[in-house]
Amino acid sequence: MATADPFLEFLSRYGRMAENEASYDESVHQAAERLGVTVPLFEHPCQNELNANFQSVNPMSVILTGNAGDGKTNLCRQVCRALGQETLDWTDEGFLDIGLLCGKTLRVVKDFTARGDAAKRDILRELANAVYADDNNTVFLIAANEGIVARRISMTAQEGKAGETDHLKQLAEELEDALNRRTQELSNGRLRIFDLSLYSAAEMLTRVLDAILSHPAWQQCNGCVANTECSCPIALNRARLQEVQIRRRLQRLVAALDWNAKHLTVRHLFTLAVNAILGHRAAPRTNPMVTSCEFFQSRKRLRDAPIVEGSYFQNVFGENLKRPDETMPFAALRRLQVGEETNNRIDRLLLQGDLESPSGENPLKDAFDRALPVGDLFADREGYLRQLRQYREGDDVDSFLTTLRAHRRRLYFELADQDARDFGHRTLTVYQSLQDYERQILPIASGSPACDGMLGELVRGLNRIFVGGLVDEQEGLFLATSGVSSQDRIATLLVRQVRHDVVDLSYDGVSVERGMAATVNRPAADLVVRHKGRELGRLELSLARFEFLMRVAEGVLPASFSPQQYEDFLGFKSTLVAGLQGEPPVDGLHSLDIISSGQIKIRRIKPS
Amino acid sequence: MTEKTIRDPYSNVRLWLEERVWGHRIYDESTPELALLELLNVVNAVRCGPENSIPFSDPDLCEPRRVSYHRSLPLRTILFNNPDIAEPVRRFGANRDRWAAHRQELARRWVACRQHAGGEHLAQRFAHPDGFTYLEERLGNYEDYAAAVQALRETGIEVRSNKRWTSKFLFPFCEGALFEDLHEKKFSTDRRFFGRTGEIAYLMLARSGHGSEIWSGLQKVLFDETANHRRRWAHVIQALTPPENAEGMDSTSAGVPIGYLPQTSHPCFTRYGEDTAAILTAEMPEYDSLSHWARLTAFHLQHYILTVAGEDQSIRPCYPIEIAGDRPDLVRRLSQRQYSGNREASLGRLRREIDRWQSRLKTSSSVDQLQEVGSFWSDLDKEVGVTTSKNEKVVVETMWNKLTEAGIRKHRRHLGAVHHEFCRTCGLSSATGARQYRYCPDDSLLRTLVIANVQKRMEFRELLDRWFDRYGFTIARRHAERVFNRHDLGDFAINERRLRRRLTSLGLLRVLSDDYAYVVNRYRGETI
Repeated sequence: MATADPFLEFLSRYGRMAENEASYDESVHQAAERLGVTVPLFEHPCQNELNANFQSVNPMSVILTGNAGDGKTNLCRQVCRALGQETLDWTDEGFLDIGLLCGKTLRVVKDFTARGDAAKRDILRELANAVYADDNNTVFLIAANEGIVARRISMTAQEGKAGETDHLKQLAEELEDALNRRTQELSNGRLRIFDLSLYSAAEMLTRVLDAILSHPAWQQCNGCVANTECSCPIALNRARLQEVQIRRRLQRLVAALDWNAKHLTVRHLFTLAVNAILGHRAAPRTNPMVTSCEFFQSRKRLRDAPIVEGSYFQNVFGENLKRPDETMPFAALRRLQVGEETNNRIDRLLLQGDLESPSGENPLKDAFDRALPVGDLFADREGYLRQLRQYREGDDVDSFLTTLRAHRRRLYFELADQDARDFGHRTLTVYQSLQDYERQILPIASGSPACDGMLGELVRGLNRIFVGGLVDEQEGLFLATSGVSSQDRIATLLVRQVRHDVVDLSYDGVSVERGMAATVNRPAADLVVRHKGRELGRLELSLARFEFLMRVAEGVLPASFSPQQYEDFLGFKSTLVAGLQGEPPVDGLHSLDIISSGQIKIRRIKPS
Repeated sequence: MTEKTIRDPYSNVRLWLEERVWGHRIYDESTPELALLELLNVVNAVRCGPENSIPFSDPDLCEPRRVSYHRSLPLRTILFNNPDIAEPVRRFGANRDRWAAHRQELARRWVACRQHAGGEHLAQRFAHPDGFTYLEERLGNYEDYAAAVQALRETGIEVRSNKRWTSKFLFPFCEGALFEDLHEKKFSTDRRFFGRTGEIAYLMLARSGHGSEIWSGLQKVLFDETANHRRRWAHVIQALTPPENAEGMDSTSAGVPIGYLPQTSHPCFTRYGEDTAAILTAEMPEYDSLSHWARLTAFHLQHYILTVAGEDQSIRPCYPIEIAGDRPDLVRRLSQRQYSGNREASLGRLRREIDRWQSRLKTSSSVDQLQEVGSFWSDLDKEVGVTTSKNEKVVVETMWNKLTEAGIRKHRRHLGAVHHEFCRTCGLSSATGARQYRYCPDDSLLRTLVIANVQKRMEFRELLDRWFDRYGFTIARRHAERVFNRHDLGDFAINERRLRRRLTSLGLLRVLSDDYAYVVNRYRGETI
């Protein structure tokens, strides 16, 4: 009987966390060739643009940059294919020259990062000529890691050696500037930077999942006994990951990382998807995945293990790995605390949903049945109820808590939308304001006009940080100092009150606007404070910062919730206070008293 | 200039020994804030002095600068010798009654110090309750007055300590807030907390070659009359200061030269100057730069002592820095060891200095030796008991022994304690989580050192190199390998990673892929 074994083995290679393996792309292709499977392919969002560029009359040179694993080499390969170069014969120096339609020559440099210092300098020099010299006939496509390029370029710019061509110096300076400001095009329009790390990982996840889940090799599973009996965790995982709701929720987790500028690379996403499907806690720890169907037959541990041990909702958080907290992308996903964060409603549902109430029907009963459907292998209702009973009798508490965490994770993905609303689904991750951020801030970040739904709360959060007390003021921003330093935790002397004028925020007050760092592919929002039409300061409003402000507005103590965010906002305050220099003076001393209602009373000490 | 003429103005210093190496003097009882305050007093005195000179401009090295500080006794009586300002509010309902009660109290307290309070006219004036009526005229509402005094006290320096009221100070909001340390009975200049440490710091900066940048930066912080923050406070302080301008209130030490610093230039001065200029020109709002400057001052003063201590043997100062970890490791052990070594370094230099002096005079006659040493040690006769009847050789021998003893005793009491005290108070050293002190900087100092060293942004590795080159901070493995001759320095690599995490949590570090991380100075327009 045909099985998907070679494909599984191939996939598991992706899952081996080849974080630092150089020329990863090559080894993947070699493995595919050896096992006789086709590599799951997907189209990178910028691929069409790249193809169009090199097929145009006047092509620009391109630097593909990004983190290791962003798919630079793969993209180079795709571009070469599109230009008709089927087999890629790289020279020893890692070059490949292709004739373009326009008559120029495209030189592809697949791995700038791995070149020696002298070679790097040579490449940059040639690139400089291609960009600035008029009679040049070469166009470049260079793949290079962001950090290495930045370092090399800043070194070149600083050295400014005698004898170095002006072109190289100019290029280094312009590039350094462009990388820091994240602009994409050089001034003369002959070089473009595609930073692959700026593409939304949540969007890439869809492409990666599609490429893997709809791979033709899965057809060999059709008709498999385990498939029809629903006893194969792989088949089950694959089916679940194709469900719209589950996918949306997984995507949202990845998006949360995006919005915090915690970038997952394409390689991370492949690792994530593969582990979600193949991961198994009972598999050997060296490669804790199911790499062939025979595994289930031949290994007793696997055969006896409950199917939950290989469930996607545990695998997504690397539960099958030895050190998930040190392995990307699982480390990042685990920090979202899915399964750890909870609320009373969800816990009551899970802990009391099965009880028969003496007065009649248990109001949680229906929801409980929906949350733990009879016959669902992952839900394992019978097993759960058994453990719950033991827990109530005081036995096996620890293992029950582990199970409970797994069920919270499952419910994060599987609770139907209506129940999700009723049972406070939003508090199942550490980012409780994720939804607000998505609805209120992201539209602005992607360019739609500002809305002021949350602004009052943001102002309150800022005031609590800036004054250092439980202030409830939302009408204005109180920029205060302790007298000695604006950075002290408690600041009760007013520097200036900035009106928060809801009518005309472009003149006075706090607003959220499309961020300076926003690009076509990466939404970003800034928190902007204006006073009398002048911008006092702006701060990128990442999800983490938004969450921080909202929590502080709700009453959490800023310094204990997140020291790092607190520092960021104190720094922001100092920018704002510095921005006020040159304003007409305030007479005397204005000291702030917080009265019990949370309002601020200002005492004006004005000597004559 | 001979050593004798240098010594003349400080003839009351009985033993002039460590002074020849480090100057007169860096004093351990100062804190970073007090040292900065003293420095600012010098700046103000120079600025308002008879020649109206520009502070930090190259001073005439042959002629020690003479300055005069303010005593501001009425203001200090109101602020610090008058504990319960809220009492009249509790006792009386009417504003007038409150003021009357308060004036009585102020006058009563003033009488206690009137004999020494300066000119007779002023002493008399404030001894009568009417002397303080200007407060009511200017502030009107007593509660406003109480709030103003409260705000000034809360921001003050050493206000919460149990120091005498004449050693409590206002935060240096403007020149009106600057005054000197006084003896609590005689109200004469007292060098207990203003032990010339700030004067030495001033001289270091004046000789750093960065004086003009420092002065232009400082002007914006403290002496710009149009600046909002200064106006806010100057207005209030002005209102509490009596209308007669400091008549008869000048320091008892008016015209006395400031401290003595032997070197006319030194790499330590240059670095201190660079760091100070960087802090003061970083466009920090309001008074934010002053706390950074105070920390830097304490750090560079002790760094100067340590550098000079090793100079004669070409030993560079070295600080193995532990970035606070949760368990004792090699970094901590080496740091603790170096810490105790560094604490003793200045004493070693002092001993060597005495030895050198002795061997230089070896060929001179006993009488000459006694005479030479006597000119630096007024207690020679008392201590050695020179009589002609004794064998001269024995006398000279005793003299050198006694001199060494006296020198070491004095050194241990003050200059020798500076390293520990200043490292601790500037946040460089700590004993947290261990029994012994070691170099383990706190967040504030790290922030200060980043602002002082990073223009806009700098690669993380480069910053570590810079800290190593400029201060001798050993954090990373590659630096430790250059300092320590051993092969098991892996803990330093972990230490470096801890610093990365720490700077990230302070919002100072941005990480790109491939280990490329850079440190940013948020005040210079670089955001994360």
